[in-house]
Amino acid sequence: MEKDIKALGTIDYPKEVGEVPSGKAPVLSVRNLSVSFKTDEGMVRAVRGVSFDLYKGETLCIVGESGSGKSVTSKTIMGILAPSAHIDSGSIIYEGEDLTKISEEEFHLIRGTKIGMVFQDPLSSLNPIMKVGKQITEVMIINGDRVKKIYKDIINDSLIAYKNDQRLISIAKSEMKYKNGRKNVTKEEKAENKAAFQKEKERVLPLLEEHRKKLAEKKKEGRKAARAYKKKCFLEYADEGLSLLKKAFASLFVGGFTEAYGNFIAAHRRYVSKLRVSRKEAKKRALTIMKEVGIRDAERRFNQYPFEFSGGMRQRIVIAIALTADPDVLICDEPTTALDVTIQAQILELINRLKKARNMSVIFITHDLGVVANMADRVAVMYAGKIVEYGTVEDIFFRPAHPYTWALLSSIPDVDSKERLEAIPGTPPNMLFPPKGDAFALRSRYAMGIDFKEEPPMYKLSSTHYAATWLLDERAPVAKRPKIVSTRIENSLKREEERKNGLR
Amino acid sequence: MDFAKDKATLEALIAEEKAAKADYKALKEEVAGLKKSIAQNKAESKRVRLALKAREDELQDKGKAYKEFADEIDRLNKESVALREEYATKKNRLAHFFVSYKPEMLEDGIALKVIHLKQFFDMGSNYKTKAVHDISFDIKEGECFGLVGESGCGKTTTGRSIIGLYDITSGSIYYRGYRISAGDRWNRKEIKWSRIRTREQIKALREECRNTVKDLEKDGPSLASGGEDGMERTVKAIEERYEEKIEELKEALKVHCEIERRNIRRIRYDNAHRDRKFLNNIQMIFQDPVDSLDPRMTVEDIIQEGLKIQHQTNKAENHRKCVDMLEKVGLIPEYASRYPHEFSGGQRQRIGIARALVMNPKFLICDEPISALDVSIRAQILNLLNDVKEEMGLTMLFIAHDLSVVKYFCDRIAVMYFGSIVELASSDELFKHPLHPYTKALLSAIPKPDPYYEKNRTRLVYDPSTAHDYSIERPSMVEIVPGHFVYASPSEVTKYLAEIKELDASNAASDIPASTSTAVEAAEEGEKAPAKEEKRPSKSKKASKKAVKGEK
Repeated sequence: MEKDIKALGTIDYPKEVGEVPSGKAPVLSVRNLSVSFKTDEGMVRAVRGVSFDLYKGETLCIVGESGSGKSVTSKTIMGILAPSAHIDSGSIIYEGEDLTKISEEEFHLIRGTKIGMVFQDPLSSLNPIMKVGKQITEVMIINGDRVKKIYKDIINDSLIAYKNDQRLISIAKSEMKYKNGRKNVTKEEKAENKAAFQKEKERVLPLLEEHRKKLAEKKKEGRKAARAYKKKCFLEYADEGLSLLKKAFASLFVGGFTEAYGNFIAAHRRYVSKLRVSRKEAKKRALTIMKEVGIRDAERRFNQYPFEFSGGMRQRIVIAIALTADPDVLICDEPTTALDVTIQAQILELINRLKKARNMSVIFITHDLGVVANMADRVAVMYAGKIVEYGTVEDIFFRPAHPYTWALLSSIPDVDSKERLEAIPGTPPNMLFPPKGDAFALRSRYAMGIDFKEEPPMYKLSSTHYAATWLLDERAPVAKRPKIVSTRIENSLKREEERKNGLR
Repeated sequence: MDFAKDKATLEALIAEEKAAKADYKALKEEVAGLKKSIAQNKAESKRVRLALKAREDELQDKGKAYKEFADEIDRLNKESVALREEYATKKNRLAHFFVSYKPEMLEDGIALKVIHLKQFFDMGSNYKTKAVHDISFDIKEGECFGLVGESGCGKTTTGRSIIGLYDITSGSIYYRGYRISAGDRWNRKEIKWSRIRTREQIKALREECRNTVKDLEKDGPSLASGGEDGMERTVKAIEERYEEKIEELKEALKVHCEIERRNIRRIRYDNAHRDRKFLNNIQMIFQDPVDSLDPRMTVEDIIQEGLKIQHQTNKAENHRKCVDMLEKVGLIPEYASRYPHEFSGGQRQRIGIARALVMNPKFLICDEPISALDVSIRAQILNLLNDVKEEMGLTMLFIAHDLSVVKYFCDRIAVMYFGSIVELASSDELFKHPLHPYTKALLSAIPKPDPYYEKNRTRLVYDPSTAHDYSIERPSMVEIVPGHFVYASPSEVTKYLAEIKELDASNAASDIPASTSTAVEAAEEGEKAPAKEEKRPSKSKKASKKAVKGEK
């Protein structure tokens, strides 16, 4: 028996997230991600080995209770973890690069522009003393300096290479510090760690030096190019502008000054818009986006403050800000939890519509299974920092396999029934001391002896459906789903059949 | 203004007041008598004690002497206790004697009645937010009443008005027959507007009088009316007649204003003489478990705070109550000495429930108790509330924005939209026949854990400007089916009635297979069947009780 368990334990299940289905390309793949936080009491293991894939144009819903690590996962993807966080292991691959290893400079090119995020509380994610319009256009104007962009485009590659090297060293250093900071570390181990760090440093340093030299060259080149562009624009403008200005002064005595001066101003504006995105341009784009997210009377709303908006409208503004840069991936961290039902339905519809129109991929984090049923193509159920079940919506809702998914499904009141709810007893485990074995065993009715000793591997149910529970093992007794869940599934399948028959 | 009716009401009011005064006098005398008998009792017991002491000296034996007087002392003690109790209750009644009281409400089994409640908030510069605008409903004894609507529709304000956190603007709230709060804005406005109306009527009458006189004068003094003299006389007669009418109007206004003034006086009196101890029967659970607990108080302090405010200062007793409550809501007694920040959201909400229950309430207002909690914890709290309700026989007002939760929990549901109730029905009826377009919109917005349903869902949008045409007909609350009220105009009522028929027809078509399947499921399920059966008799008992009452 023990031997079997050991054999099972060797399965490296986090890598099992299913093969890529044909015709779908993964945009973002997370592999074996573990994140912990340093606190006074010790390390809080928030995420413990999470793996999933996000496909182009699909929605992945992450479900779980508060404290199950959903938000931490999304924050890691965005690279906005608190300084006390430490990425223990794992990788997040986006466009061939590992987001856990890249430098802050490179993240600037990804965060907001390629991966957008919508937060839970729309009031606290907006600046209360800044007009909404300004908040939407802010990013466009800041990123809109065209001269600077030319400079940046030239130096970018070498800068990123240089900074990445720096980051590699700092990662190695923090790793050493983290390892040496633990209790019960012998001197030899310490020395070993230090040696490893030195080795890494020696490996990277020459590269660093090379990259620095290259960067300096590129900088010079960039400055030259920027100056040239600026000069070119100015020369074009200078002739025209001067002649127009002369005409304007001439017209002072003849008449028609306003028109002539207007021409001059227009020429000047054209010149400025070549150098940077003007306020007018930004406003125009902001207004189209505001209309796109369903804000009526956008012209008037543009000049209002966040407090003048209702909760649903505020959330629309937040989504609009996230959309200004046209991201590939949108991460929504419980965007509708602070809203009530009718508004929630509107926002969900909006996100779905935008997803279709822009062919975005969405990571949607929520604890409401009703919302999941609406939004998701694929669902990951998280508990205590781990994905316990992973599959398509149909897999999760019609063929749930993990006791935690059963418990979640049976604890929501249904409109159609009035039975007593089966609450999940107790509270989620304290992640300072992650439980041994199956984390949900303490609250589960189906827990077996082995659940308290060994962690269950990820069992493959079908090519898209995985669950981590010992109940799926060959030797486990047959466990039946709770009554509520099975009747609900039956009912909804029946309803669907009726609907299909009705359509025919 | 109906003069005759007004006069009758005024007379009735005056008579009532007189009768009340007489009753009050009688009760006062009774209380005085009680006081006297208490004094007598005291004197007698003193005499007995003196006699006992004398005998003690004589006999030199305490036990023997005491035996002789034991019966007497016992009787006196019992009498004294009974007298004091009676005295306390009667004196309390005396203190709140003139508060409006409607005993017929108790007979109907109505725990709480809200009549034309309005709650406005002054926003400065003569601008008012009409948070709640004219709602009426009643909650029966032992019932759970749900209040649903989107945020900002005034459901929380209603709850807070009932418990007395706001002084209500207009309307009145009765709890077990007693008026616990009332507002006089409507009455004040009524006085103002009736004055203006009367003034306009008088003006119109004067104008009419002048016109008739003018017409007469235009015709000139005719022979038939008797020359100049006769003309003067007719004019005078006409003027007198109109003057009489005006006087009548003024009299009517006087009576009308007097009634309203009396009402206002009564409202103010009622508000000033609320029975605070009686109001302890109403308790509230708040929405946010984090903000509603004082971070600087221990759990025990939080739970005992209400008791201390009510001058229950027996420490041992309070501690016992506190521990009992903690156990009742599923927490360990050791938690009593901890602070709120040491608990999770669900546990904090349990503390909030314990704080409300320790006052031993009869009526509980739950203001979105679960919307700030996690899904798995929600079910725990819902089950706890359900248990507590059955155990303590609570009547509940359950405020929420999620119809699926309310349906699960409540017997009757009122749907609110922008400060007024648009639909009120029993929960099954409301889900079977949703009539008002806003109710339909709400129902269509509930997310269901069923992907097929969700992907094919059509969400209805409610826009009051296009959904109704109230330009010709005024809407009002109409009882469409017994127990099912809708805010609708007469033409809409006919439309809704047709809708009910349609819904019934479609339900009947799809109901047959569903009912058989449930029967099969019930047969299959051995575990839960007894639990269900246990519940059933209690319900039928209630029903039979009601039936008996009806026969009486």
